[in-house]
Amino acid sequence: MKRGLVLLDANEVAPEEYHRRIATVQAALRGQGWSAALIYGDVWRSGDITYLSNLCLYWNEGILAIPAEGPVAFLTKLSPRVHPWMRRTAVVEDLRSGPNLADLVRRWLAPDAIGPVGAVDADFWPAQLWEDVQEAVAPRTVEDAGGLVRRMREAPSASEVALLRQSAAIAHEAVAQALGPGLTAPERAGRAEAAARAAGVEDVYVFCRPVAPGLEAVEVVAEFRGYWTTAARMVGARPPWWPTLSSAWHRAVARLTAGVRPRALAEAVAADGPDGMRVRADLIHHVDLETGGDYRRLGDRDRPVTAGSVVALAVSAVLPDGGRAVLADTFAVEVGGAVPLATRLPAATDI
Amino acid sequence: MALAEEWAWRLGRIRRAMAEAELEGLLSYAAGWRQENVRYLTGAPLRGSFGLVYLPAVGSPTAWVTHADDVQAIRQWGWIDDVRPLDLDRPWVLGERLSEGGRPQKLGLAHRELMPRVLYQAVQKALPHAEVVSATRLMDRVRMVKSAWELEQMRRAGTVADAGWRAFVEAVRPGVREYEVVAAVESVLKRLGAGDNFMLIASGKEEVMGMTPPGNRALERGDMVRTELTPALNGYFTQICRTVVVGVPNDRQQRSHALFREALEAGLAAVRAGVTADAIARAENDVFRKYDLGQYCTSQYTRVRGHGLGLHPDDVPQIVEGNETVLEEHAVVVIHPNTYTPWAGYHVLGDPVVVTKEGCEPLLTTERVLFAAPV
Repeated sequence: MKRGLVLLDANEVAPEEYHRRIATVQAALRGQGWSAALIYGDVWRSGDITYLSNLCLYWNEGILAIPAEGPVAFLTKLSPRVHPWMRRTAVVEDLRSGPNLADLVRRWLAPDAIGPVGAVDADFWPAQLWEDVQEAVAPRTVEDAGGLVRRMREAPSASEVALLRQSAAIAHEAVAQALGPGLTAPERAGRAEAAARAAGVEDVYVFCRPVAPGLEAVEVVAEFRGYWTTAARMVGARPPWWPTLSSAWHRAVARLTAGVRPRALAEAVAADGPDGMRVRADLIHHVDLETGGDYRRLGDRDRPVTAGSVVALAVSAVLPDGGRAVLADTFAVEVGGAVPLATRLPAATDI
Repeated sequence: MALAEEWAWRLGRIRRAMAEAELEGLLSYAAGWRQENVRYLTGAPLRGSFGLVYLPAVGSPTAWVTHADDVQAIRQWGWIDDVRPLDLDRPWVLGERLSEGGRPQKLGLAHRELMPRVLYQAVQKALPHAEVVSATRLMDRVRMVKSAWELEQMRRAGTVADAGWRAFVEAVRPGVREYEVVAAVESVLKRLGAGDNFMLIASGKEEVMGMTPPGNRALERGDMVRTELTPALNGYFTQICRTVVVGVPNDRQQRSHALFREALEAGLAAVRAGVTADAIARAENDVFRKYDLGQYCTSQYTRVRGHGLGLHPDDVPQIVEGNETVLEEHAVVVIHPNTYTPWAGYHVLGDPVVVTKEGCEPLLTTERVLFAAPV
């Protein structure tokens, strides 16, 4: 859960950059003839809202409402009592609270806004909210604005890459702290959690688990200022199938270059190893890491990764008993190859 | 064996509730942040963004998950054998199962209000003639009363919460930043096996009006540092609300503590099976009214005077005036009269308890005092 440091720091991302992001959305709205965009988020999936506002949805649900022209508003089920905190930590001034988001949309939408309303990633909206908002904005229609904001986020700016590097360094340090010998899984998790949170993450998921006798996985997914990265290493004795996993990792890294399609990379790396072990690979864009890639559609997996993207590569060894070993890192993808964002940890295939 | 009995107990409660509501099937949906109903049915922690369980009125349940680790976790737990992968490009797999063995004419959908369109449309398409009703409240009621096994998990979570509070007090000193205190506490909670934790914090003096996630404010001598820690063990959340002063508490802070302790103890004294949430909230709020502070019990200053605990950190019933929900034996609630007053700013003090026939069983051993961190 999001219980780490929440901060708005103009030295990290200038207010003008947030304003440019909003202006880009507004230009797209005007291009479509839409009167507004509505971006739904909850505590689990709120990256688009954070990108445009630095708002942290530490609990509950909300909608970032962007008119084709004019200031944005955040409509939330959280209490007005947290508005002062939101104003300190985000670039949104117009905050509106209430138990019913559709009612808040109805009251927010300007009477003279006559065009359709674009709902970003409408497939993922709660069906009930979608129906209620359609009713609330009638006679205007609500149209699916698709991944309008997600596509913007796929090309990180220089300031975003700097934050992604910090995030990756924290993930590495957290894994490094958890790799010591003779620790139990909860002890490893405690060390990783302490390292990540003391470094100022907003959120972190730590997965420490035994995989096979004498072999454990340490996996960290960290969010720093809204930017997610991951790292995973194995600790313990090399199992017989280690060369298969190691070789798969190297094949995946070699293929990781601008133009690669995630599904094609996964298919190229998939392999069967000894004793029923299977190798599986996944390439997740950094914007999809907060949800572990679960919100990706087929099109996302077949779209080439562009130069300048930041992606997470995970290569797993799935054992017949369901255990899973994993190696993972976060990379900056360029033409001709990819570079890990952090280098604190030993090579992924070291153990 | 204990877990097999637990599964039978849960199935019995759910199927009785389904029969009362005339449901032929129950589909429970788990969003990434609201997994309590699916966890109740599977027993297993979920890592993925989506999870579902379908339980027909007669027959075996089926689970769907998006993460490979979750398939393994559910199978290992042993309550549901039929675990199927789900991805958003193939939502019709839900419909295939809902149609097996006869389509339900009336389907309860727990957390219907959170289910994404892409999944809900698959349900509608599979059951074009069925009546689909929300079963969120049905599952809230089912989960409200805990089994002996569940209570044991919550007692263990209580010991973790006690340890988390001790770590909190040890971390508090001048110059330490709020998020560093959280880091110290989280480390201890995870080391003790907590799978999750919900936590809010606030530091400062009389100007503090409420709690939020941590910032980078450095603690100062004389600050009150407030927190609610809500660690989960085996999925079961419990909560501790306490306040610590950096240094020696002043008279106003002591007076504020005495007020909140009186309100907490009034609330706890009102707890027993058969009473309403309203009665407990009223007992707490009457203390504030006695000191002419009743206005600080309103939504302008506070949210609730406590709430249920279990597989969700903010479960039903909400302890508020006007809520006529009757507490049943073996429900678990946290009683916390947390609010702002001008005496010393926002103040928190709260304890979780198991509701019993005669009263309540505390889940914490931490003293109900105003703590002082050495400087």
